[in-house]
Amino acid sequence: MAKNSSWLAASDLDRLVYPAWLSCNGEGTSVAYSLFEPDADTNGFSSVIHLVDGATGLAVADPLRGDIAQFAPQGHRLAYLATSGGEKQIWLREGDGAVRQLTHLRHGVNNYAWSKDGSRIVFEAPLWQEDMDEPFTPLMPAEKDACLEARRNSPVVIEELMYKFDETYGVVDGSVPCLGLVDIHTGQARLLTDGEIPCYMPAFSPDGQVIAFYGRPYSHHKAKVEEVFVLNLSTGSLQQLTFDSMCTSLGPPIFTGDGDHIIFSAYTRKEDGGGILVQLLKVPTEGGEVCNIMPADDDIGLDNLPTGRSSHGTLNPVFQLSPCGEFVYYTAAYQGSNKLYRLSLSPGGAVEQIPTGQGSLHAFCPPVNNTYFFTRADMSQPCQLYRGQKGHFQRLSDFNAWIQGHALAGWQELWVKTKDGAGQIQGWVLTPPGFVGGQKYPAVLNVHGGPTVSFVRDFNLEFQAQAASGLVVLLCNPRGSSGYGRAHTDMALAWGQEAIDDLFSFVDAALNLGFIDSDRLGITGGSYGGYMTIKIIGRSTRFKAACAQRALCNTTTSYGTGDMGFLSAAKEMPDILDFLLGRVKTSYINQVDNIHCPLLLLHGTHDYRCSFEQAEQMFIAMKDRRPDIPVRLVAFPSENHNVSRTGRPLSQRIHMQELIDWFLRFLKGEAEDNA
Amino acid sequence: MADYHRAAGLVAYTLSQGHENCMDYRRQVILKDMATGRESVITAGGESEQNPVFRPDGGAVAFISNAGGENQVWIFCLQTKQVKQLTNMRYGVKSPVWSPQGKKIAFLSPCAPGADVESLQIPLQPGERMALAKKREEEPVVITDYGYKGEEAMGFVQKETTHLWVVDAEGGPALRLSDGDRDHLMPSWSPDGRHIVFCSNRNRPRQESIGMDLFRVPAAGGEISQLSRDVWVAWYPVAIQPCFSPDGKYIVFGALAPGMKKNMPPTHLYKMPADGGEAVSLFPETLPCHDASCFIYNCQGLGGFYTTVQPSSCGEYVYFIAGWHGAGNIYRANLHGDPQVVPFVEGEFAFRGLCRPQQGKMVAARGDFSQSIELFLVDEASRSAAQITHSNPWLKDKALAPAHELWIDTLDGESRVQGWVIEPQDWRPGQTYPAVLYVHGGPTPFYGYGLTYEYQCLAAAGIAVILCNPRGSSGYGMKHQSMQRAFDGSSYYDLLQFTQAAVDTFAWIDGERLGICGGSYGGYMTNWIAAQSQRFKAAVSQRSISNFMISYASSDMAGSSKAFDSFADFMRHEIKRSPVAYADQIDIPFLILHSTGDMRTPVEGAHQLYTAIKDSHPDLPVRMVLFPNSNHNLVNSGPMPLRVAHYKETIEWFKKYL
Repeated sequence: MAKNSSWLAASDLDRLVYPAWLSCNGEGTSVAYSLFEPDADTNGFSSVIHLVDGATGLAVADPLRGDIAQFAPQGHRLAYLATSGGEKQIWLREGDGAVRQLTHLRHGVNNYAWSKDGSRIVFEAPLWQEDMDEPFTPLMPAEKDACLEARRNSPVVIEELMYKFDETYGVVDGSVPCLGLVDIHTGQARLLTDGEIPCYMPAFSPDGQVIAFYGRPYSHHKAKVEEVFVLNLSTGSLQQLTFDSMCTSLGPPIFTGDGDHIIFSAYTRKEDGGGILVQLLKVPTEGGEVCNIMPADDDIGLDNLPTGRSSHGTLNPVFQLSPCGEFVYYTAAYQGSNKLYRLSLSPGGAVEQIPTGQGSLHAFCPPVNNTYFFTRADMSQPCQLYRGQKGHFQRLSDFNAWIQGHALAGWQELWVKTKDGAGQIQGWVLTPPGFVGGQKYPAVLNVHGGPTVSFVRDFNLEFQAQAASGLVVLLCNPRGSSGYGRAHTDMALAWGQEAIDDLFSFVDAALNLGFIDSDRLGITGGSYGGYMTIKIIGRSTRFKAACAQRALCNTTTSYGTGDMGFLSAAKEMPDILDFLLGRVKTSYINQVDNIHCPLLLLHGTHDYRCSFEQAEQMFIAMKDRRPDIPVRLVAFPSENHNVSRTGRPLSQRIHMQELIDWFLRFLKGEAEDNA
Repeated sequence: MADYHRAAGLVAYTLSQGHENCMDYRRQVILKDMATGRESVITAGGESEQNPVFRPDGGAVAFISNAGGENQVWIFCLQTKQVKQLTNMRYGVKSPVWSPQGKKIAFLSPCAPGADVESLQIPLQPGERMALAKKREEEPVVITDYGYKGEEAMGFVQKETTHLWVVDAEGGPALRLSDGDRDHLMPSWSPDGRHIVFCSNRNRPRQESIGMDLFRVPAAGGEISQLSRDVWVAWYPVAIQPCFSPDGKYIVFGALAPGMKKNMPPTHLYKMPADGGEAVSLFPETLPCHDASCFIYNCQGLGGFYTTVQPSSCGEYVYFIAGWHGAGNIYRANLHGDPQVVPFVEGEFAFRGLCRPQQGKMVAARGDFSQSIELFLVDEASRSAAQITHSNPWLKDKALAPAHELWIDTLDGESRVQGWVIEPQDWRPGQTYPAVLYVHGGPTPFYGYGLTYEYQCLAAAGIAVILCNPRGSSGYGMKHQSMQRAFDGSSYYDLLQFTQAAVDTFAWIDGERLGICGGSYGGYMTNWIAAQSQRFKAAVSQRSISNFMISYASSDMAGSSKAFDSFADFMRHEIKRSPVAYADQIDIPFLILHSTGDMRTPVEGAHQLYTAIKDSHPDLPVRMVLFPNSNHNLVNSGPMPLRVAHYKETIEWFKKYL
């Protein structure tokens, strides 16, 4: 099949733009959104805030450099984050277009929230202990360089158990997120917390007297524990409201309309088994019992980590209170789509789905005056901005208009019975553009990470580029995936034989479609998907080429090298020798002698979820034990576990291209690229 | 690094100096007039200038300077006192060597496969340097074979490998003599100036990156021919620069003796006809030393690579430095006739390098317990050595703690262990002092007669230092050097045995306040002993091995599982012998020091060990300090602020917990 210039390729990453954070004003007449685009000069991404008319989507003002724009609760004042002197600070744009810098934090601001009366902003800012005397003296660029240089050259002292995270690209730098308050009229700012514990994602109570936020109370704990805290602004008293709540900060905590309760998201389990869901809980603002506010029969939950989509930049919180205070709106991936739901806060409140159309939601603003805004993408349509009203919606944007001239992958959805008869597996088969019936195509099974995530109907350049290169792409959500209820998401099934059976059942069903060459199957996946890739090629010769991305293959060495390696260790460490020897059995590098297919390994060097040494384990073991089988490791310098999602443009492009070239080489016999 | 020119009466050497606040060392080239003793600095204005070599007629000195950004060869004319830049290599230069006629200079410079020779001679502009750095920081690295990471690179090796070049000493474009994508090292000119002999791994699989062969190439360019067969030319662990006999008939080189599987084989000296042919050993059956290498662990000095093998002035002998019973002495081998090796200069000191002998005199570098490395003039006839440099006169004002020698018989009766106990400062009769057993790395190096600043600092903090050479150490013969004994528990008992002997011998050591410490293999032993023995009350584990499975894949010297039929069995075997598997038994305050750029014993091992101890002992003082911008050699040659911080961490830990 000849390549067609009107088909998508990895190089199109250089021009794909991404709408991200949204905000609408109190009347629902204006919308501000961030648009991210790759920047070839800096090998990074930059974002611009567009201000558009809520009815037409047409620009009403010049764009602003920045991100996370939020309209004040009333009027046309807009706050946003923009870089000033090297750090992100809060800026204000008045209704007349005048802009001014509001904060001067030493190391900038991470996020912020308006008070309901629009007079104050509470913010989260990273600070070091030594900055506490002068938190509002911004670093001059030269000072900042000197500061970074000094930090690069200084020994790093570690005395805590939780000292490194993938999110921080390694060992934490010693900064602590602190909370502060700024008056928007006077510009006067003060710190609210002293850096003793990390405090983040603050929110105002309706009366403006209390700040709710998340804090991480214990550093020695063997988990990334976060809890809900409140700070009373008049008394200065700080109170921890939740304990062992399994809270997960998908968005800032929200106050109920009367200010009496705080709603937050947390992992929940059921006594009768099954997997975890994220649900909404509430706790009295004064302290007291935490209770689950989801209907008893809720089996969808929140968020469910929709995956397999082209996205960049921070999206709005997954759950938000409607301005009227009657509902919590939230998104969840369910049965292949990321959908919008709302939970009524009235007693016995029910959940209902809000129509948003085909495909998957990205960001949303809850309704004002019955008007809501959201961004949504579909299998053949990148993310666009929509305005919804009572079930009708109207598209307001034409992002990535250049794609219209391109033939995209065809796709069909399959529901396949599981081998054990417990249920069905949903998945999709993407066919190459220009697909010709009667021909046989090579196919690549893509196993998602997690395993508690869910492939959804969405636009993904990675899959499009693979299809455009002549590969059929197979996606499915085997047991362990979220988005199908607790029974399906049971973790034990993901690590057991069930998930493998599900994947194989799905491949069989896809083969039955008649256009896939069963002798030219490939397998790939990232993280858990990479782990499954290695596990499967060590016990099956079904796949003729494999690509393990950011994979886990040897848990005897991932213990303590990744950021989560020890979470699965017993609470009271038993005999470490027994513990490590036990892990040999579940380290699928142990099957390296049975691997018969060429293996590509893609891994970020600053991956602290599944550390880079995991890729080295697999690479050296292949060289050592299987010297005649091609193996290739591509290292992505200073990229973390998100290299293919939020990595630098060059990293993302090469990641995508390497994977395609590998399968073309071993499934289509195309010559090795000498790059 | 030094060079000596007898006829001109001059010595040129590199003087390195670090500063607690400066990440880079200042290196200067010093020219010393032997007759007057006067010293002057040769400089091109760089911050780092080193590696002076005299033109054979003594009229000029070539040296390396970073005056223009990269390290380049500069030439200082002794008559005009002028310097001029000779090379303009894009990625810098090292190891300049004059042709015997003084017309040309051979040097080493990096080159990527397929790179254009001309563009490699256009120096990097400042903007280009930044762009190149960004590219190297951000460009994905494709790995298809072993040998993809390196200690010097502190990460992935660059596409550029080291190549042999030659340039006319008057200037002009340089000619590249080597090709391919492997390294070419240690060049020597044949006395007739027609050939250059060098070492390279070019014909080895990448897994054997430390395996070197000897090659020869015409100096005017041409075909490269391999001279040595079936031996590993000495490069790792101790490099020996090959040399020619003065008559140009023979090449003398060091190689690891063949036929040793499980052990680090001894290094022997061989001679080979200059145009290749059979290599003949210069070593008889029995030797007054073990081999031709001196792998001393603790003789402080900086200045890179030293030449340790030189032909005598008369051309009848070859001098070499060998480690034996703690000393680094000069020995002499016959170049002709029956093999014979005799000690040449012996004493309680350690020679580190030899300059080419001329008319009965040779300059040598040497240190001892009370002095860091200085240059000495050795008289070949009288075998006497006179000190000619005094680089650290301030040391004379410091009270250095004395070292007491001690020998013990090993428990199994197989060998004897030599060692020293460094007395604490301000030692007073009747008082007792804590002591630290400091285990050396390797395990093949040995502690000997050399000054180690850190041990003196420990002594100054009132802590005695116990040093010994357990099984696995070199300098005591093959049986003692056994690699197997280093890991089978014999060395473990040797160390505990020696510690007990030290406590028994020196009543002022408090047996209840003992600490354990060491780097690399010494770190491995520290981890092991801390888990297996109750003897010690605090530990500092430096650049250690904690899990052999991590070293298997993440060390620049990747391991092999080929001895095992099943990979799972290999994993279990490696885990069982790894200290981290016993971390739950560690119950003493434990400090871990590791460099993030350490490719030899990868830092991942430190992370795992730290987590394992912390995870199993939440209340035990456990601390890990990670050092940026440095590799496995931090304490010897890393940035001075980090070295100082490393020393302080160790000393403070023992002060606190002993």
